[in-house]
Amino acid sequence: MKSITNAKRRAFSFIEILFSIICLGILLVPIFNMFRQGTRATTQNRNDILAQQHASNLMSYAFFLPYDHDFLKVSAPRDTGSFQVDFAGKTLDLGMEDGQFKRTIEVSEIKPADWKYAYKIVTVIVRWQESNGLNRHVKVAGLVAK
Amino acid sequence: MKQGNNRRGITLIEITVGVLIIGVIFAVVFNIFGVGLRGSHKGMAHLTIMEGAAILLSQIEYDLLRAYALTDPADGAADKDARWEIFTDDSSGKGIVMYNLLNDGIERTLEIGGTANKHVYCRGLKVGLKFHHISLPDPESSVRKVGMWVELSVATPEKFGTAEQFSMKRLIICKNIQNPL
Repeated sequence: MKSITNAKRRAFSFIEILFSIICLGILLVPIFNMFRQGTRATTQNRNDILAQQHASNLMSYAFFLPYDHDFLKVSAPRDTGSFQVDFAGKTLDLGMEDGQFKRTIEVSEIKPADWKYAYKIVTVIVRWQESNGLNRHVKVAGLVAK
Repeated sequence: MKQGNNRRGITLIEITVGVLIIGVIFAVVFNIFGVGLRGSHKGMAHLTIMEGAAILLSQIEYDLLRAYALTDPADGAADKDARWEIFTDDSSGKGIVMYNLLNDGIERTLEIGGTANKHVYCRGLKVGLKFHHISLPDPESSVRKVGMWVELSVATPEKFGTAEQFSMKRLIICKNIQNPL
């Protein structure tokens, strides 16, 4: 009779198998998360570098220009996402190929009466949204003197 | 007792079913792991080329900020190789820097007093580089501001039919060069 009772308990029940699969799944979740976080960090690094590049290019262009150039007119933040510039007949595309970035430039002037020189503060901000919905930005500011 | 002895072992069918179930579970898990690992390798490759591109562009920017004459490419021209005369920190104070594109990297040569120091950047990677020598007149100060538009792309060698690529474009002003109009 004892052996018959043992024979009834020889296999795993459905609940036991289900429980073990759930445990396995829970153990695997952090490992998969690790992979996903690695990919996300790489994308964030890439976006950081590109945003910095877009901001630096616009700032360099601002430094290239004469103080009273139209591009450096005093203004609230204005969109400079895509535009081309002409350097003595050579056209360069200073726009941003990646549609995820938004770039603005703001120019303000400091010109006290008793100062010998006039200054313009040029502020470039590049904004973008990460794949996880996080809003990020890079801000670069510089001075142009007359 | 006889009945109990008959049910003591595991039948071939049970073993087969068990192995099949384990096989299916392993196939799914390894497949997901494979996707994760591929993503990880891709991320590492992308980080490598991004780092390589950032280091190379920093070196180019540093050289252009110290440049006092841009020999190659000429004003208004574009080239994959470059040759500039730069200020240096040593006693001679001046040197020549050259960039030459290789099949698997880019070679930077710094010549000071007849001695050439060479270094290969992005070794083992496919580098695409183009220097555009640009200038813009500034009527207010009667000088021509000079700069370089640098287009750089770095790619990994093709593996299993795929390759990672990263491109950068940078406008760099040569602050030590102000040619008269």
